[in-house]
Amino acid sequence: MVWLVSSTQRTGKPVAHCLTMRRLAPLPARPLANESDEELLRRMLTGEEEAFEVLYDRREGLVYQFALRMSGSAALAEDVTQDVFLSLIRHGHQFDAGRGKLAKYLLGMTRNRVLTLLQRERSFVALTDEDEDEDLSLPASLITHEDPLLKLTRAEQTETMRQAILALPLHYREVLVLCNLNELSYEDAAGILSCPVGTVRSRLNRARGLLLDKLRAARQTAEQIVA
Amino acid sequence: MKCEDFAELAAELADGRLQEVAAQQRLHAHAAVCLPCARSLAAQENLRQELRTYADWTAAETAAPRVKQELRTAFRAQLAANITPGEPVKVATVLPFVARKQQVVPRWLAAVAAGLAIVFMIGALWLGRTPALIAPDTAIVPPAAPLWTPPPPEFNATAAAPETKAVPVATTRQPIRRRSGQPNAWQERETASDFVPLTLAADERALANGTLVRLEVPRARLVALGLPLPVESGREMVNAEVMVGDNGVAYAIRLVQ
Repeated sequence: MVWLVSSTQRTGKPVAHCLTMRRLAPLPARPLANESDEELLRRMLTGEEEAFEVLYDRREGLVYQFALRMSGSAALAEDVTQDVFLSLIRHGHQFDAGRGKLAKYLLGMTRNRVLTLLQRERSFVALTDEDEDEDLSLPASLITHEDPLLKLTRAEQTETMRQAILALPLHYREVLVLCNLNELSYEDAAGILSCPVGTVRSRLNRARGLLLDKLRAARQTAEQIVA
Repeated sequence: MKCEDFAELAAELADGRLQEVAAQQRLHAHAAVCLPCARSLAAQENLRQELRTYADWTAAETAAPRVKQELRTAFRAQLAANITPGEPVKVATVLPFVARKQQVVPRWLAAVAAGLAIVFMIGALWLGRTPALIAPDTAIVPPAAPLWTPPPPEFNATAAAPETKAVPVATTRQPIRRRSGQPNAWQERETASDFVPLTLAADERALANGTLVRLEVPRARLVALGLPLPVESGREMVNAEVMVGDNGVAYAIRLVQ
């Protein structure tokens, strides 16, 4: 509060004026959950851990599921997820918002890492872990809280579809995962795969044809086993 | 419409990606009169539904919480090192220390020197002669005799003085060789504490296979990490070594004095 003393022109008597200064209330902080990916990344790069957590929670599924659908391996998908976000922490400043959205950027990084790891893993042979036999506890997948028959049917269908997708050649698989499972547009998929839209369209057409054949063959085999 | 054209667009129609209304009508009209194409369209629509169901059922699959925990640790380690995430590490030096000591000349200085050398060589080639390292009017007479012989008794120094200046003899300095078992001075002075784990995954294998990164960290950051340090001055920089695994995760930290 500031007091000013002045005199009026008519009476000449001093008159006190009171100026009250109000402190402006700070603007209410926008919750991080409502921020865009790009804003979260910017705040993360300034060292805000909460922004990193929100961004991870929002986009981890996208990265992990794409890696899992492409590779069929949960361990590889976790490695890829860790790699991608670690790269974002260290080299996030390389992201250029003018070239597309962060989700697309993340998918591009994920795709590159998945392809690299898949090529590297071709030279390895999977070995069963001897310790697995010693684990006598009930696996979490066997503990069910819903209709067991429904869950079994769902698991079987999911596994059939997963195997059929994994049997596709890589360049067909990635188009199918991006366009049909992640629901990306042809243009976005073309941006991630660095190829023309026409190529995406034709590959997707071919991938769906191959997938239909593989699913048909898998079901015929299952029917023969049952018969 | 031919069946080949129909086959090309059937998947897009089933996906709902075919925007053109006229094309949709043409395809439906063809499917109404062509049984194989109608079956193909039905199969594509069925596949579309199955893929959607598969995507829904697997939408809940997420990475293990361990991944997030490790990423959080990496994020904090980068902050603890007083480095803004997203920027390259500024103070990091990879052991062994000998390599660090040898890297005395900055890269830019070496680049400038190399550039000058190239310019010099090009200039010499341009002039069409070998570079003159010595001024042309300076004649150097190589000493045929020993550089100094005792003068005869009637020797007159001023009259017999040669026109050229004497060439100084370069003295070769013997390099100081250290005995193999003798440690360097800096090795004698340095002491390091035990490693303090930053993550639960900091087992012996991780510590043995990782890369040791030396950092200068504010004391307050280390106290915030839980290291038992007296808080004398929060801004004081402390030498620390962080064991970083191949996956980039900082496993453990120790202090160096």
